[in-house]
Amino acid sequence: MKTIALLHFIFFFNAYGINLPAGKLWKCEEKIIQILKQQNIEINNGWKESLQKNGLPIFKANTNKIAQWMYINKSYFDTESLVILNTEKKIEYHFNPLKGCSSFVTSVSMTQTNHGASELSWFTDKDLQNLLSTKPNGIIFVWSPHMSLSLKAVEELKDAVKELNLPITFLLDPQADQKLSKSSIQKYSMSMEALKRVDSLELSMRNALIHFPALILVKDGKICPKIQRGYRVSKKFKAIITDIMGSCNEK
Amino acid sequence: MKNNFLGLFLLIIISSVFAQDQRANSSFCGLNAPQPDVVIPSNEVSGNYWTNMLDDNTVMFTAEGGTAGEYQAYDLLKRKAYKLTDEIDPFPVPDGRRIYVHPGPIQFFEFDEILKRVAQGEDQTKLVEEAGHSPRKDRIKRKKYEKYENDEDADEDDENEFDEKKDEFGIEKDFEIGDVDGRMWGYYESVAVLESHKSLFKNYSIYRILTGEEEGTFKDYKVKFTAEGRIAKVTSQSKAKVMCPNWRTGNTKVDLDFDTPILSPKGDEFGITNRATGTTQIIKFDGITGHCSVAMDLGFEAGKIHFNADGSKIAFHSQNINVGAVKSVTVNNRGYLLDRKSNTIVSLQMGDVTESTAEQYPAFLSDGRIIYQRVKFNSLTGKQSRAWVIVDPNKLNSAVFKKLPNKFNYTNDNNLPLIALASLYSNTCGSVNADDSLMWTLNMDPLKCQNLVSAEWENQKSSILEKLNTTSFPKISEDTINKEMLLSACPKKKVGEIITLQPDVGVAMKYPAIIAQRCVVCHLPNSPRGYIPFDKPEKLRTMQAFGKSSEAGGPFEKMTFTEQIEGILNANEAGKILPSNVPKVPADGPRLNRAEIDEIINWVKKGTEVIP
Repeated sequence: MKTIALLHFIFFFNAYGINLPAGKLWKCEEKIIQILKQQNIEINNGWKESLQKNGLPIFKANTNKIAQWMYINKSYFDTESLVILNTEKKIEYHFNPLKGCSSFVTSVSMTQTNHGASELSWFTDKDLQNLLSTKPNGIIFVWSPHMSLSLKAVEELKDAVKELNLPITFLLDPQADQKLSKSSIQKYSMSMEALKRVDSLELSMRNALIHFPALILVKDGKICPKIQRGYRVSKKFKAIITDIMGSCNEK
Repeated sequence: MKNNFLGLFLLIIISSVFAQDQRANSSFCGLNAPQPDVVIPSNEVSGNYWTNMLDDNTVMFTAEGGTAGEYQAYDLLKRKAYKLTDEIDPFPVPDGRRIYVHPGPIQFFEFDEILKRVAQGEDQTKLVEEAGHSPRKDRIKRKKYEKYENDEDADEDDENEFDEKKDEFGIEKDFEIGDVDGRMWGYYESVAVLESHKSLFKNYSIYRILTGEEEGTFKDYKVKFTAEGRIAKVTSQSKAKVMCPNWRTGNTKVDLDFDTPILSPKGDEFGITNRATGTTQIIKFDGITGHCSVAMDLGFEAGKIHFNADGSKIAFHSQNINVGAVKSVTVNNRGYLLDRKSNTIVSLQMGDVTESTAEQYPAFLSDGRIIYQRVKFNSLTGKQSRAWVIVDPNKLNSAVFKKLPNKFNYTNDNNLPLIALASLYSNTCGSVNADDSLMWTLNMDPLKCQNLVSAEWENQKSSILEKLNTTSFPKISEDTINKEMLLSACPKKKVGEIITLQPDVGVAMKYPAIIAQRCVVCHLPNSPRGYIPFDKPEKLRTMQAFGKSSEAGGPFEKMTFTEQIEGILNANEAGKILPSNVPKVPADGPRLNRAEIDEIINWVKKGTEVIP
């Protein structure tokens, strides 16, 4: 009996090292962790709480693969869901705690936003993967012409990275007005590349679009978990970049 | 010819089905969602996303895309925009004085005076230099420095001479242009009112200003006014101080992970996004020492928050995940209101609940209503349309409660008819996102809802129950849900009255207030002080002591956590001298008294007690 209990313990919990947030609330925790284990999915940087449209909480976590995320939530009547998604498909597992955590699964292909017919350019997860391999150390700076300090910050940031020798990739607020964005890049001497709009699951799920500007650091081909928001003078940008780079690999 | 007849036949069939749907829709379908009080259309909204209110009718903002920004104001009643001084992100004082604060060197500007001078053609940039009010001492310092800065013939010797004379001029060694007290310079300024007197003999306000400099710096100013309401004199009431010296490690450049700070109108709290935790926090601070403690961790990241007048509510946007989307995940900023007294969060979305828009940077009006920017974007044309929307939170039917720190206490059998109603509506009127179903049913038209249930429930109940039971609702049978229950679940109240869901207290553990306020708040997952599993009391009771005090030679070596916390709290009792090898717990706020300590220790020992 003790052996069985031990095996059960190892199989479901500590051997895999995954915990769900606010664990007591998840009645189907074992099943959820079992699925993650079967699919060899690891959690990076822990679970982060977010809100659904109706104000209810949802917990999300990035995995060991770029642009692969998962989220868990409880629905009305205690149904618990695990969703694993990437740019190609979304798999939803629904568990019913009242029926011994019996589950059903749905899987759908993900559709890409229709970019073809427009003059707009987009920065997708594919572009992100390419960026991480070609510029393994650098800065992603998400700006918006609708937040003036994000423009004022451009010169300060350029000044800050002179000594740090880090390339900057400017990305645009995906909802920015195109005409205004074009005139802004001329005023601030940014290249046309700065008109690429964020259409990346990875960056969106990291809350890159909650406030502009957003400064995201890349170190050794990986995205640092800390994101800095808002304008800073160059010396402060420099200090923050150094700090985030220094703590980038910490979990 | 044959094909033409076939086509016509099919068209008639399709048309009749469509007409039937239309009739069904008109009788049964249609929402009764509350509407915003005011919507200013997109062609009149030209400012930045982030705005602030001078008064209930005047929005202040920065003109977007400008080279240096430009203050503007928009009169919501006259529907007219006005130019002000030339800079970025104005912040009006929150006591109705019609003055605002400038970034850079802190100055107070008279709104109406600036409006008049700009209308007369005065240069906006020049007004920044000439029309601001600041303490005399600060102006002298700044002028001396500017004089030196503007001397084109100055060489290295002059620079050294000036540095030597800084003491003589009363200027601090690290003074840079625009500095006041060496620190009060910066962006993300916000203003609180510590005192406001508007009588004939006592006509002044004391304002506290917070800036983002050094990740949070504050200073108090006294502003005296003339009988006409003009600024007579500004004096410093304190030196500029950095926020949270108790959390700084010495390297003031980066040792606080604070972004987008904003002060509460009462000046005793401020909101920030904490880069370390990735969450938005409300920080309480001491106005004398600047010492800080976490008053509330939202647990998620929000955009820049806005406090109401007494600080009991905050409005914010957060990046929302729409889990119901079938083939894509939409991520949009959505507006929410958090009531700190009841720990409830309400979505600010009004109108059509199916609408896909962003709601950004909500801010309170003096009467508790909220203004935000609604943004729609056409991903094919690149055109954006925006509106300023004013909503009354008391009219939000989509009130779904969230208790902090317990996340999931909205489940209740009382909601069963609402779920079934949503399914019936979905079957009859069009697809309803399961996660939004309660929002839908709460926003149904009362009469149409009655019609829908009366006409359709008997026909559809089998399929609905089968569908619900297949997915997640094994308890539902014809015995547990019936037509009368659905009819009673239809909204009966007029739009504008709040309908709330009944929380089920048995679902989640509730903490006693003392545990929530003095323990959990500092030890949530990802908290800087480390996670302690108060949400898993059984684990709490069996875990070992941890931290420096449990190491070899420490006072709690080889003890359990229960023994450790008992020892730590007993040593921390108010009035006792704390031994140097025992940590100060709680780290912030007043020390615990005997009764409070006993309550915490008892709870930790018993663990699973649920407070009804």
